[in-house]
Amino acid sequence: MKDTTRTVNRIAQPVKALANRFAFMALILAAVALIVLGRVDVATIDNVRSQVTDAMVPILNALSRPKITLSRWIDQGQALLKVRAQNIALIKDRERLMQWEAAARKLEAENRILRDLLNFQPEPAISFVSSRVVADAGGAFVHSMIMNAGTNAGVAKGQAVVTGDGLLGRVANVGRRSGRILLITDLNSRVPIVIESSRVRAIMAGNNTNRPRLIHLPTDAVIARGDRVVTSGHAGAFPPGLPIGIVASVSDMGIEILPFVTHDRVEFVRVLNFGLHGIIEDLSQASGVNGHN
Amino acid sequence: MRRTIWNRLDALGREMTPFFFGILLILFSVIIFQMPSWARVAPLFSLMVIYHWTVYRPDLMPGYAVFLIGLLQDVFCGTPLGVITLVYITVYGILIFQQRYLTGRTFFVVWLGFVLLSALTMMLIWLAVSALGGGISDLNAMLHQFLLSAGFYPLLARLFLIWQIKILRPV
Repeated sequence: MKDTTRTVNRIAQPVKALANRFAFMALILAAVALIVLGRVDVATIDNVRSQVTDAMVPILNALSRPKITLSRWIDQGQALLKVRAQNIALIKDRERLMQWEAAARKLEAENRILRDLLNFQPEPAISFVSSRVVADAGGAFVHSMIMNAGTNAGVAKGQAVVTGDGLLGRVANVGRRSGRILLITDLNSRVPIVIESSRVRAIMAGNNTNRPRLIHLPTDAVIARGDRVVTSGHAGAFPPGLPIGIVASVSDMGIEILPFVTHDRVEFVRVLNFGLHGIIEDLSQASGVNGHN
Repeated sequence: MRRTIWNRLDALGREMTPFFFGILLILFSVIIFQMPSWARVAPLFSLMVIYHWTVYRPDLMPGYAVFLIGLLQDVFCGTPLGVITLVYITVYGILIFQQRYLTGRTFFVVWLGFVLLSALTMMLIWLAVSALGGGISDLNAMLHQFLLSAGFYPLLARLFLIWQIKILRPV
């Protein structure tokens, strides 16, 4: 009896080891196949990704709520401590803004008259979808966020995502109830920009730090620290004039941009629909639409 | 003694907990904390789950569970699908070879093993992301993520050990 068990073991163990090794190789191959498939058939992989995210979004939604409530309490407590100083600052601000308002109204009226004179075609109306960010995903290797609005709410791939401060990123893929935002700081992000004052054009490339860099600059470009950077609207990827950030440093290593939006404090975002088709649609069509700008 | 179907279901439920820890901790690492830059440096919790259970109870952390955990991490992180999966499966393969050596050792040695393995894991992910992406990914955030992972491991391992003793009990 004992002998039989031993014999069985003697045969079974190498077979088991072989089976294990085979299963292991199969898993490795499956992972490699996934990577290759992701390069070849982007649409299918995107679809799978958004399906899974869709399924998980309700959980993330529930988990992120108590935390947001808690952090709001902390914020309120901090705000109470500063209320007096803030009040004084606000009164001053208000006086200054009243002057600005007067100036703005004057300019608006002037603008209207000038537009009439030129017979100017106004740009397409902006519509937007507001959404809550439910996950700040990616870790050290990818900068992206997940929001709880998808195609059901009218969100489409390629649309610009902004907060009150400025451009946050663009919609990288979208499911029915969820969407993934690729932040402008991500390694794969490229945004056509223009320096607001000098109108120098360039591409802002993310590098997974909080300071994206400018690439493809004209050789004679003069750029100084503190210059404001906005989207240029080229290639039809983003509407023109969205604030992005300021030039943080200019050195031999390159030009670094400090974005206005800090991802730490983002709770709600707006997804803009400017009637542009984005870079993923037909390029000629997109540049045709963009031609007005 | 024959085991009834309920016994078996009960055992199965308990034995699947390590895998669900993996999934839960992936979700945990992507939730929004109002903590500056947390999401950028959040420790690789899923790797801790894989490491701990592979070392102490390899029967509860089979290859396909590692595959699924890696895949889910890929989906949530937005890394090219399959990258973290491949890296996790690879380090799992290395770990299985060292498993017998590690089980009997003191906690310090096991921890050291985790530190080495997480360093390797992150270098591999970094290489893959940089190769498939549009340039060199930032090393600074990765270094912080590595240090945090190393620091968090003893805490999580302690919780897992308690779980192992109280809930899993030897089968």
